Amino acid sequence: MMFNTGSSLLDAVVLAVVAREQEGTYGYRITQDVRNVIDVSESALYPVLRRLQTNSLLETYDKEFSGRNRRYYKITAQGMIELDSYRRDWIEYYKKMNSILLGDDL
Amino acid sequence: MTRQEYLSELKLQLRSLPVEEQEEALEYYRGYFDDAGNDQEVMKEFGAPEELAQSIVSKFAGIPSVRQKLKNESEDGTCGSFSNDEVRSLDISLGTAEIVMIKGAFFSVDFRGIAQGDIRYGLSPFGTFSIENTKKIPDISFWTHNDSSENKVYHPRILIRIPEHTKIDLLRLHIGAGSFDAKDVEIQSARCYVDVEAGKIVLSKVRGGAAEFHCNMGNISFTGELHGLIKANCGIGNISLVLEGNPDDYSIAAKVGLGSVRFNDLHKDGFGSIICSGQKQNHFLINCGMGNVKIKM
Repeated sequence: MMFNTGSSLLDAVVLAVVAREQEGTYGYRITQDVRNVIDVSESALYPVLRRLQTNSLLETYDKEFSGRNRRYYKITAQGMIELDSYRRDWIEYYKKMNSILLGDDL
Repeated sequence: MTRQEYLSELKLQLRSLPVEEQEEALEYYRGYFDDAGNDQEVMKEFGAPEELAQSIVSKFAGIPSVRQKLKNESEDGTCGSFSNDEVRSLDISLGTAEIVMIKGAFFSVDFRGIAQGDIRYGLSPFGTFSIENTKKIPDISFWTHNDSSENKVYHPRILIRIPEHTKIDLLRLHIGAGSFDAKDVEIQSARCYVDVEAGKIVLSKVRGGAAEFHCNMGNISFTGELHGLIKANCGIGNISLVLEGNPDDYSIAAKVGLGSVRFNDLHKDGFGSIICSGQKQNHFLINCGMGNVKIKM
């Protein structure tokens, strides 16, 4: 994609990707899911996940998977609120962008 | 490179982070390798361990390496630049903190677990890049390694970046009870003054002229090259110097109390002294109380 993804948009995408899974999801899958929609290096995801976790927007738990512990990320209630506000901001933003780029009515 | 080698290297490169952050990151990447399956592919995607570490560390440096003026300095812009050309000497005087020095593009300082204002650093009009804490850092858990408190308080940690091929006139290092680690940093300094109370200092690639070491109860481990007069005063701590050069070009005079002094094969344990006949251009002057001084060339 030719547009840069700012860090708050990346936060929003990560939150949305994690929120899709009721039981939570794990680092590798989050990375793949995010990379399906935006062009971001694999190494960029861990700091984001860790930051969202420290800010209590995500929580983690370990679950056994084929003989080892896999760390799962789950969205918290606070994370849902944050995601909701990202979604509202996004609607505002894309309406404006559509109006200027595509000539849509506001 | 195998996955194991990659992760070990990553671990090394993450040293400047708090221990729990290092472990957290390694745990994540270990899991990532497991889930991805193709190690070589993953390593290609991540790039070199140093690059990956850089991206992690830079995101965690709580406070960006801002250029900050020394508080009591005038606003005449004398400490605007921290480039290699401007810095003539390094003056580091810190109490209880874990200090790590690594290579960077500029002279800069990151810290955490220390309130803004409790540490100050900057470039003096005379080209001295100084870093000092303005008051004692109160952090009991540093001593006990007690992490049980709910409030996540980071141990005071300071990350100092200095450019590659740093060449300065004076390196002055005073460490209280903390640790100072500059394992991978090359410094060339005409004079070195290294002083430790109860802490630990590791310098491993320093080329210098005259040097003075003071060790109260701590440990100094120095590897590199020194010339001229090299003084070492040791209380009950340990000083270890591993130096390049021809031992025949060096002479030694040592006074020993209850401790021991070793200079290659020459040694003295307990009260007495070591005196070489004549003083050469490169000369060790050792005063050792109850500690140990070991010089290997």
